[in-house]
Amino acid sequence: MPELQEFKCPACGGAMEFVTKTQRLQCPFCDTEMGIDEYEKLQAQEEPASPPDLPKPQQQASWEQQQTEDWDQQETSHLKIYSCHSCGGEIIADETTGASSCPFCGNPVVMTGQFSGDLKPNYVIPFQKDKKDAKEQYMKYLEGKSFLPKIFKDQNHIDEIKGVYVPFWLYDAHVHADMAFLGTNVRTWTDGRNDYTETSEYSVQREGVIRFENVPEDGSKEMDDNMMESIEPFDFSKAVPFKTAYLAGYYANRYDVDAQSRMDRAKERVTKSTISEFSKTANHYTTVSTQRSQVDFTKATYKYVLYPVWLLNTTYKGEHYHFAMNGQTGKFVGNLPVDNGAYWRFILIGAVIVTVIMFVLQCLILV
Amino acid sequence: MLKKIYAIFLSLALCMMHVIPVFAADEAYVYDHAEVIAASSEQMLNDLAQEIYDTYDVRTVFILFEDETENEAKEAAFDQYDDTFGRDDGIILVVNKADDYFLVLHRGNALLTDDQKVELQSIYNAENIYKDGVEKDFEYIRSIYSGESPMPAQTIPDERLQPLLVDDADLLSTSEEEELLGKLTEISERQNLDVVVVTNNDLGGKTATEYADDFFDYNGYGYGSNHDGILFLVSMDDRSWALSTTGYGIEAFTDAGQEYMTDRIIPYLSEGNYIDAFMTYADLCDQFIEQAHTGQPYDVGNMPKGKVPWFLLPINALFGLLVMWPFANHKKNKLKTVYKAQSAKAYLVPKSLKFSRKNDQFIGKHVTHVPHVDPNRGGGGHGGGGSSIHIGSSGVSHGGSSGHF
Repeated sequence: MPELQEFKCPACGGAMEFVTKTQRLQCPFCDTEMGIDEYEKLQAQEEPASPPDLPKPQQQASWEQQQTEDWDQQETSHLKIYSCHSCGGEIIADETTGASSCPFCGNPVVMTGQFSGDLKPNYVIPFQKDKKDAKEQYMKYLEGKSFLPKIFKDQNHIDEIKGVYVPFWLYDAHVHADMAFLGTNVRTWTDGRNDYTETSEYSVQREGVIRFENVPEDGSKEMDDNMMESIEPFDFSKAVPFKTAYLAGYYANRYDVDAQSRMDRAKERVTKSTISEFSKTANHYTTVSTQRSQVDFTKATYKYVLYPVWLLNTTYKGEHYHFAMNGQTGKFVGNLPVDNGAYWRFILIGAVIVTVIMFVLQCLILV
Repeated sequence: MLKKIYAIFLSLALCMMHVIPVFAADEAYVYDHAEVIAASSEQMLNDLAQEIYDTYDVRTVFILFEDETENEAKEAAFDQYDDTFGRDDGIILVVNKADDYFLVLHRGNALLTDDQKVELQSIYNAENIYKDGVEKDFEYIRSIYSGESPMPAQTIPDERLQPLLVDDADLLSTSEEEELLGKLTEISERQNLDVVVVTNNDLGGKTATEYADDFFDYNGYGYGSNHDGILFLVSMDDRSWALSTTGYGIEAFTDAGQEYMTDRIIPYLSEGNYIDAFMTYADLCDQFIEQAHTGQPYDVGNMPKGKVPWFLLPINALFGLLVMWPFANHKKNKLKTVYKAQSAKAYLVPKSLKFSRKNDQFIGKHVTHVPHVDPNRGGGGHGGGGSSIHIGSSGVSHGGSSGHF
């Protein structure tokens, strides 16, 4: 049985949760609270820490006939079964799930195997925004959006809202770039008889180094990469060394896309920024064109972290709409449905108004 | 026998001699049927008339009838004159012994004004002796021709001699003429300004402007002492047109205003649609005179405002769409916030950019030039507005414009 960790309150035995406001663990039953470090010490005292060093528990589920659905081979291999310490209920989770809650008793649990040994994240940014914040941001997000179907807004129905620690790879890069530009300065003047144009050309060279730190790319297949990029930036300076206690009460996944796979995307972004920064130093000409640009990575390292993300989704007209909020900064993103009728009505009515106004003006001027 | 023949011949010859002087005097200017003028006086008058003719190319003729009536005298006078002088320019003074009438007839181009005719009569009547009267009249005529007299040879009539529409080139049908004339008359009477249309096939060597000016003046067009009017001439001679304005017309139809009018009239002429050209002309004249009464005739910066063309509506609609569409799109895009990140700018280590090489090297320069075009040239000549005027052959000032179609 893969190891589950629960955060038992030392006073009453209830399941403690990480509270964003205080950044401490708090028991929702007896209000006892303590800091993460404190709790860890407590844990260490009670149980000798024996972190399993198996990279991946291999236990497969044994299925009983009670199962109402037929799970085919593909699906079952992605699932793991855990047993809840509090109520003994079976927790069926995806192989990457690192933190979840028991579907029977609601206790938050952490699958320690997912985050130990080689899989242990270097850092984590604890949640700064709680569920209330997420809901509020969602409401705010819906405000002031033209062409949002009225029903969507009025319905206001969130199917699901959960706080997830998303696995990220953070890349540091030392970059060397060598760029050459052709700059021209144009000057014009006239002496009444002729109009003169003087074009001065310059060969512009920029070679140098530049550094980037903590460029994030999510390491989870199921997380939409674009959505994860959209809620950036994360402020790494607020990250802390990883402790499982931070996960209490939230969901978490371990990575299933490795660092190498995401490195290309990180390099792509870094290259673009490098060229941009270098070009900025050569833009004091009338026109600039890039003759050559060569970007090399002299050093590229990566870290494994968990970043906090609030996920919401709702259903409208049979379509699922997903939203994400940066659990640290509160930045809210998501694509909303468009009321095309409203869109076209806006254009047509606006066009009619403009037409009438222009016509009236023309009549006044010309008649 | 031979002596007898010679004697008869000689007497015949002597008889002929009496006749010859009569034939020699074929250029007689004075015809005294009542025998009131002495032969020597007659001779003197003839010499005077001859002198006048030699100098000024005009025959001054005096005929005194016994007791012919005015009409009889007139006819006889013309007959006599034509027999003697043919088509020469001439002035014939015709009276009878009883002074019942004093006629001043003209042949050719020897035109006198009414005032001059009156003057001749009064001069004649001032004398008691016939000979003196005729002599003074001849002298007066001479003075006219020598320029001592202020009156020009051609006169400006007081009453209109021709209608408001003269279609010598026959560009309009009868019904069109009727319609146009009716309109011109109505406008002219209501506005107290003659609005005239003239067409012809031959300018007789004059320019269109000259012809228009002269036609207006010598045919007595124009209201009031200033001869307020406007005349539009279309000549098929060289497909030219001219506008001639007089009196208040000069003020009401400024140069810019005329351009405005002709811009709207000439295209009709070019396509051969004369009735519409002239109807438009008449309507525009009406509009312009009306405007001029307000004290601010149409001019540069104060032009009539036309109707708004209908095709502006779809154009406006298109514009409206083009304006609203990006605006709407901008709003629509706010609904989509999930994008691929463009860069890693937020993760740039501040001040980590260090250059190992940073060169801005001047390669060279070149200069090109194009001739300078002054954007203000080539525009219309009516910078300030107003009406330009010129003086016609009659001495009267006219405004106007001309062109071809």
